[in-house]
Amino acid sequence: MIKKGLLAALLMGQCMSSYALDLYAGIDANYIFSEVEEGDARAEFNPVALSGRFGAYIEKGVGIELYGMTGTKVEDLDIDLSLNYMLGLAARFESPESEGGKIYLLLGYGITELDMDRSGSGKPGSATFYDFSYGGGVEFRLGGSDKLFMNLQAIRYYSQDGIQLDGASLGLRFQF
Amino acid sequence: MLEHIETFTKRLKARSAMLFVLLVSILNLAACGGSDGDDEFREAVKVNDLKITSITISSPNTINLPSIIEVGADENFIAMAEINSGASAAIDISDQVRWISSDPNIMSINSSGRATGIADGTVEIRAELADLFGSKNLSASSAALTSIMVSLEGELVSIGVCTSGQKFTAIGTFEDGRESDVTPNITWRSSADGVVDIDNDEGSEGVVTALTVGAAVISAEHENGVGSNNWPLAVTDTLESITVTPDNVTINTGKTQQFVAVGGYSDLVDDQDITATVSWTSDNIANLSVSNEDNVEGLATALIVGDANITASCGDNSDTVAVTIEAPVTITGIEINSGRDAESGEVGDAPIELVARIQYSDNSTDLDVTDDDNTTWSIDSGTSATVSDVGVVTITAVGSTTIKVVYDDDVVSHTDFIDIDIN
Repeated sequence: MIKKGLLAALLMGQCMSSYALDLYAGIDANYIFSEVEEGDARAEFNPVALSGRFGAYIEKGVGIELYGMTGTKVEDLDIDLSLNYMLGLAARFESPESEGGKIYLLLGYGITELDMDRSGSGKPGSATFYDFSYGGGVEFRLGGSDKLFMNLQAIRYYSQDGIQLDGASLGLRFQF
Repeated sequence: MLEHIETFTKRLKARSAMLFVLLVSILNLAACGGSDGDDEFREAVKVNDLKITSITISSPNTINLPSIIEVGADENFIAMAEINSGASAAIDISDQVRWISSDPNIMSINSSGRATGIADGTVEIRAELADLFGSKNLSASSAALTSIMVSLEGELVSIGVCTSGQKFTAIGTFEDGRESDVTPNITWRSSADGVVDIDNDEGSEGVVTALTVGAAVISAEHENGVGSNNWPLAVTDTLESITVTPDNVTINTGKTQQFVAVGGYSDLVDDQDITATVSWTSDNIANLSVSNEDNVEGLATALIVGDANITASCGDNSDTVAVTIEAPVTITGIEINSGRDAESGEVGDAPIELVARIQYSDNSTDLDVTDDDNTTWSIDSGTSATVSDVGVVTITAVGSTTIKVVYDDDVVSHTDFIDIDIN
């Protein structure tokens, strides 16, 4: 899986190297909705997390971005859950801008590592989740700037076999 | 101009390739969705949800947990969870834990907690769930069984006729000196199985049923040929009464009714449920049959309308109850406005509220189904009126309209009509 990721990045890197690309970077404050279900049992964890992204437009309205995230520890009864990290690669598809705002869709793939500690026992420990991610958001120019944007975004990072990871974020994006 | 078009086309082609690579890469990666270690996350959530504080391993068959299992023999274990949800209690979580043996070459254990001795040695078996586990040291031994001692609970030598449920236990002695409960691992025998029946079915091994007054000898034998002591058991006539319930019951044809027989004994304080051991008879098997088959004893089936008596007997005691068999009540029809053929009105009149009622075969009170979910109102012919889902007719023009009502409960369907004449 990691080999496939590297191969994809390499292929895209080769393609992108031929062009002068418009680059951008962003930072987001995230609220994560994670849910674990096992039969009738269910627990929810909502850590907050800080994420950063770096991307490039490969065509008007189409970009590729890498993102990373790390979060806080939260507790549900006797379980502590930490978001160790989340890393991913996504394609970004933007609508034409209208009155300083636009909507965009993200389609990608990411890896998330969570750490669970029940009753301070340190167990069961870490688990990694890798899945197709998708979502979108709205973005507005900030104060009439032609480089700075504020965005609201919602993404589903993982949803398989009773475990879900979703995120909502408020962020800033700077277009170089 | 041509140069510009050429440049644009080349650029578009190149970028299309890049877009194609991007989408293929993502779709390629998307096929790799999955996780590592999430099963234990789920276990932790379950432990938390059930408020489990500890896990212990115990035996479903014996009070004393065996510590040695014969090589080649099986032993069932269960995992009990101590939970704390206000008040402490224990629940069986055997099918939710992971059963692990520290050395499967000495003793294996399957996912149901059934351990099998493989070779001489000692292992630790564990029942794990999230961060909690119960453990037990167990030895597998190839020492041979040398003798078997059987005994009846309470050291009883007699039991009342038609009682059941008393359980024999077998303790085996092995050549290494250890003693172990071998109740489920031997074949139980009764010298007179018409007097005393002894069970060899899994989970109820050694359970006896006293069928008739008399005497029998109970014994057991291991598959290696080792036999047990003999335990004489008398079946005594201490049954004083039988009471069958329910009495004076009515059953519709095609339906069943479970009858229960309770015995009063002179040597027992509490009455005993002897449904499974009495003999059930019907005095009119054409109308009403009653079963003596295993697990359905006392279950009567109504066949034809009429009367019958059900009797439960054991030895000199019996009790009889009366049963009436009737045809099931059915719906015979539906009527609008008590069977009227027509209603009349004039343009401008208030809406006419129709009422639909169904009739039953036993002439019991009709039931208003005007706005029942199974009732459908519609126009059969005409255009001078409309009808709502609940039978309200609205007059729209001069003429005649026929309203149709259908009651359909997926078993029967009945229909009625009424004319609405508008002047």
